[in-house]
Amino acid sequence: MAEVDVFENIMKRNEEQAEKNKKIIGRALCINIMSSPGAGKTTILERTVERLKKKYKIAVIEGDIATSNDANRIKKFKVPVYQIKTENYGGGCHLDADMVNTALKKINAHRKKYDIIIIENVGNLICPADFSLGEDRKVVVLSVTEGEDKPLKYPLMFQIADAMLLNKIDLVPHLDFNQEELFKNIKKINSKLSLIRLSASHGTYMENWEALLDRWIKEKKWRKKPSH
Amino acid sequence: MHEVAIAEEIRDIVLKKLDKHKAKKVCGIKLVIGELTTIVPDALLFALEVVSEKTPMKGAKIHIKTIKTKAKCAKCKKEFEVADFNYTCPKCRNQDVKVTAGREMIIQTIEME
Repeated sequence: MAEVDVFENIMKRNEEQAEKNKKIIGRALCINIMSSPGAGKTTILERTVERLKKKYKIAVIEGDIATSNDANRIKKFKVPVYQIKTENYGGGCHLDADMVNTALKKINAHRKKYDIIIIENVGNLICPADFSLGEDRKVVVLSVTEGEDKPLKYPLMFQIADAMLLNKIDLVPHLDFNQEELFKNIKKINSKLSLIRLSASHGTYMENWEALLDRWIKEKKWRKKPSH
Repeated sequence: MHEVAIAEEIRDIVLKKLDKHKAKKVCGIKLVIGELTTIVPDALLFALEVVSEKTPMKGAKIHIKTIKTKAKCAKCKKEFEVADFNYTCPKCRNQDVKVTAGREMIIQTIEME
C-alpha cells in the first residue's frame, strides 16, 4: 500500500472551463445573478432588459432545474435567451462552467459581440457560490421578506458577491424588517459590497442598478482591448 | 446538495490517479475542505459512498481536514482567523480585508494498492 501526494484542486476542471468561458465572453460584461427562490431575480431581469436593450446588445442565460418559464418571460423582449435545465445534467442545484459553455455557444457569444450577458443562476443561496462560471461580476439578490440574518446564514454567497440588490422594498411598511440590522450584518461579512435598494415590480430605484451596470460595462470595455 | 457534483469530481480525479500509478484499489483519501465553502462534510461522505459504488474506490476510508477561514487586513496587513463571520480586523478595526484561507477544496493524498 502506498500513499501518494496529490494536492489537486477538486474544482480544477470547473475553473479551467470557466477560463475558457471568459475567452468566449470576450469584451462583454458577464454577470451571474444569484438568490434564493422567489427573491425576484427574473422580475429584476425583465425590468433590466427592458431598460438596457435600447442602448446595449444584450443576451440572457437562464438556469433552472426544470421548465423554460423564465426564458419565456425574457423572450418577450426579443433578446437572445437560452434556458439551461439542470435536470438534463443530473438535476443540479447550481449552474457550472460546462453548462454555461453550452449556453454561450447557443447564443453565439463568440461572434455576436454582446455588450452584456446576464446569467440567472438556479434559485439557491448555497451551491451556486462554489462554482465559477467565467463571469466578471457576481450579484446577489435578497428580498426584504427573507429577513436580516441571511448574510450570516449564507456567508460565502455574500462574501464573494460584488453587489447586492435588496428587492421588494415596497413591502417594507407591511413587515417587521430591520434594514439597519441587515446592513450591519453585511458590513461584517463584506464591507466592499455595493448595496442597491429597489423594487423591480414597482420599478423603484431601478436607475441605480442601471447606473452600476453602465459603470461595469464601461470598465470592462476599457480594460479589455479587442483580441484582434 | 451539490456535494454529489463535488463527489463525482473527486471520484474522477482519484480514478485517474489510480490509473496513472497502475494501482488496483483506493484504500484511503485525505481531503482538505475550507469551512467557508458550502460543503457539508457528512453530506460529502455520503455522496462519495454513493458515487464510488462499483469502482475501485468503493470502501475507501475518507478523511476530511477542515481549514478555518482566515483574512488579511488591507491596512495593517494582520492575518487573522475569522470567528462568527466577523471580517473586521481585530487589530485596527478596518473592514477592508481579503480572504486568505477557507475556500480550499483539495485532494491531499490518496492511499492505493
